[in-house]
Amino acid sequence: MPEIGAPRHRGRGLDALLLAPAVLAVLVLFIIPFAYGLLLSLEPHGVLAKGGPLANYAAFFGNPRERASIWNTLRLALPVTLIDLAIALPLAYRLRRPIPGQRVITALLVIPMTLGTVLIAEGMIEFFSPAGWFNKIALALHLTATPLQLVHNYTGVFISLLISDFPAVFLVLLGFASGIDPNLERAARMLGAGWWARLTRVTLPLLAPGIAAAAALSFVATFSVFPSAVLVGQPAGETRVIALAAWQAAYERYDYSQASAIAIVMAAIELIFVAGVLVLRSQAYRGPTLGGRA
Amino acid sequence: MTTGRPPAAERPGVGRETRRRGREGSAWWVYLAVAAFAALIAGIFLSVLFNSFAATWFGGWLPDAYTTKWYRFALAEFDLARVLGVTIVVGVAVTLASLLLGLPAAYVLARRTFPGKNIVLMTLILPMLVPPITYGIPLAAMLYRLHLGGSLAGVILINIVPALPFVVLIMTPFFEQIDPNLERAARMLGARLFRIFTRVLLPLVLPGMLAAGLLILVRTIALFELTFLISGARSQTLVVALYYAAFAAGIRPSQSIDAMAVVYMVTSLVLLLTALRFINPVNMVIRVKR
Amino acid sequence: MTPENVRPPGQPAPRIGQLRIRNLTKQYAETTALRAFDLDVHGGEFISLLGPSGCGKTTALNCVAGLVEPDGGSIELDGRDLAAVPPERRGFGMVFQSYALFPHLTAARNVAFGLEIMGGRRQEITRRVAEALALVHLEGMADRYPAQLSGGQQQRVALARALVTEPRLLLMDEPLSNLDAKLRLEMRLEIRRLHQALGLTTLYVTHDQEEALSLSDRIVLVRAGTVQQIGTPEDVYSQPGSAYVANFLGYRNLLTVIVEESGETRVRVAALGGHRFVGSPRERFANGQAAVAAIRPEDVEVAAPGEDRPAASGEGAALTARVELTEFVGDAFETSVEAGGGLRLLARTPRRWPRGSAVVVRLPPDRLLVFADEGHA
Repeated sequence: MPEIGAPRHRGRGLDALLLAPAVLAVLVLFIIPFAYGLLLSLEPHGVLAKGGPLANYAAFFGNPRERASIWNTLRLALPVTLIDLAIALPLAYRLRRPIPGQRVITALLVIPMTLGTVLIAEGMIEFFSPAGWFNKIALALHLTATPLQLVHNYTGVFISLLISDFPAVFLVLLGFASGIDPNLERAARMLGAGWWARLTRVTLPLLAPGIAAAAALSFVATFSVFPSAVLVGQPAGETRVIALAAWQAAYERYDYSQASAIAIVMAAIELIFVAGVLVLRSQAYRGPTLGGRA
Repeated sequence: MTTGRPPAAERPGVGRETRRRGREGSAWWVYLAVAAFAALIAGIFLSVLFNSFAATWFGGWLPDAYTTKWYRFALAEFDLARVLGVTIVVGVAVTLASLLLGLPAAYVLARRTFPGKNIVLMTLILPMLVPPITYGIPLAAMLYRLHLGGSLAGVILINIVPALPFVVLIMTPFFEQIDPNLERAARMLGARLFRIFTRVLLPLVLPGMLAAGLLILVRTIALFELTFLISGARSQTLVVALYYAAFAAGIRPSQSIDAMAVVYMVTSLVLLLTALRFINPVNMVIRVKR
Repeated sequence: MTPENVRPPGQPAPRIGQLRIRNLTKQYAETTALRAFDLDVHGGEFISLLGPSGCGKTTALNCVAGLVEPDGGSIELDGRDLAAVPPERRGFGMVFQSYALFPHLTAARNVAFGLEIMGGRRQEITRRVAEALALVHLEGMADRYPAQLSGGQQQRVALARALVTEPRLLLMDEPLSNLDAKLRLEMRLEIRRLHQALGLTTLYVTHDQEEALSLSDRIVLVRAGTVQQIGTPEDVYSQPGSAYVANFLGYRNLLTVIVEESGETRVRVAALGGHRFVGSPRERFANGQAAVAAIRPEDVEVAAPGEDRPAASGEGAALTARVELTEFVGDAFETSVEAGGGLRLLARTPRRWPRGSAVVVRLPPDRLLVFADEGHA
């Protein structure tokens, strides 16, 4: 709890001095570049310069291949988010009361998260290749007759995202689930609620903020997919994601203006999604964010 | 009617709630799901590991013969020594810089209320909410304009952006947890500001700082997009070098790429496991108030 | 106060006949929470489980609720064994120490929760919710969320929520301990009033002897997982069965003594400093046995030398002592005296005694209860 009557030997001046470096850093390294990028995007470069300030955006949405990058990315981000949520939710719910080995489990999940998307993608090239262990096992178990093509296509990126995204989604949900007062469930039981009633009337409404947070986090992370789309996907075709489009504009065509425009489009789409999730959440639940303590 | 009941099985560590048949029974399916995931991850990492030691691997279950030559090859080919050096320098520099910038801010946020506090907090957290590619491209463009493109300084600067909010996010609750009365007590005993800071606050905050520092180190080393956008040939971190190697996979032997991947994995895991000794993994993603 | 079979006029008939708890045991990893716990609760009774924290009273309550499965023993309601009945089907109401109000529901929706589970027409539910809120004097608060309510208001919502479903049995787990002193007294009266009006069989867990004494038809003193004594408040208060119970019920003077001579109605004991007293034995003693003599501060008589009353028959000699300190507690003074040899007594006196004054202290034998020493902590 911030102390309003905190030790008075520092005046407001010292506060500002302590805050200033951090705020300045964010200002200089984040806000200003963002604004710079926005402005840059409105100053089209080269052949587009005649098209007025929105020429970059017009060019992006007008070009079918560029436009398709949005769809390519959505095709990946939306299903991955939904599936990871669907898998993580029952697990987080069950683990809201610790079980033996809880810490081992969470540590296990944190490992792929910290090793990062590049390593997972690179490792997948080996493991999921037609001659790799996954296919070998599938063949041995007669799950398939011929080796499955799991890398260098949509499936590769899909699996890669599923794996790298899951831990964060799970941990966010777990954090929220374990923050729910256990007495609430007991109270619901005493009032006659069976497990389904408890789930739908107590647990899920109280988890709604967590689900919203996890969904937002997951979508934002998966929508900006980049290295795995290149390493285990088909960057020239079906997994030409929007981040790749932005990168190509900047580093292959040296059109920073166009690149910034694409980055802004990315940010806008993410913002729309997050806003949508927040609206949905406020329909489902009104009240404090961390359900529990009376 | 019924007199005695046979004792219900008591599982150590499990909640003491009534365990009726069919309700919240054993968590076997949780273990199964986790095991499946662990098997997947292990499979991925192990195939990389095995391949890095494989002299040749013609499509059987295991390599045909083993060797360590790929590590020596990778060391030379990818200039691993330098890349590792760059990675460590960048990691440490980013960690120190963001701690230096973020700690005072976290302290003020924890102790004071003032008009506009929420705006300041939001501003400081904002970079964490936006994915790196989104702000990385304009930022890289700006850094290139300032002739910092491709330089070590540029890499360090760009990586501070996601690290700083992380420090603020982790350290603010830490400071909040320290009883403000400690500072008052010190003052009543005659201590002045600097002494209070070094004798009272710092020792209490040190564990949190170490934890946050370790986490930032791990995250910075793993963060690909930002460094990728700004780094040059001489300022790549390990993860970027790995990407480039894998990207040009047709040119270089996969075993050498995997050797580099193993080096990256080991570095990251060592740091992560050290960090996990001090922190609950859940707190890496979300701050849970208990 | 009210014997089980005499009801105040206007009070509805209780909905259960009897709850029999037999031989309940519960073992956790290293502690035995319940050990051969026996209790009969009669319909309409208000029973308090009184004891310090960790004595097993809450575990017993949770077993009755069905939230905790006992390792052994049985709980029968009107002859029916509850072992196979899960908590959601027992039809008991429960008020938790932390209230456990659903934070995402308004007060009205909280109260309506149990009714919605049971099903029923919306109008009916709304009516009953309004009635319940009126019963606890919270008419205007229906649309507030728990976070917007004060502690006392939350508590009343919790009560209303438990009562609205007309449960057969009401369980309360230290509901007043999170409230400040003034609110606690107010709510105590409320609870008593509600019990008079509704006649609901109630099992009430508390560590506060005042609450237990004022609310209960019978008090159950719990110690280390087992029942120490059961009785009406007056019985238990004036005739505690052991040093442990006495200690819990305000007998704040507990003297370690040696029995010198013991008879049917009187026993002579020697305390610290060689002082001798005559008291009422609560069990059979052998000469030389160690014992505990207990007396309430309000029963300790303090007088100025020379103003002392004459000794009653069978009473020992008066003690001379020195006042150590006096504390004003609003309606009386708590005076601590030292009688030489390290013997200290706490007395409740109508007047203030200056520190250091010499006084004469008497302990009436009827009020000095002597128990066996069994570690009364």
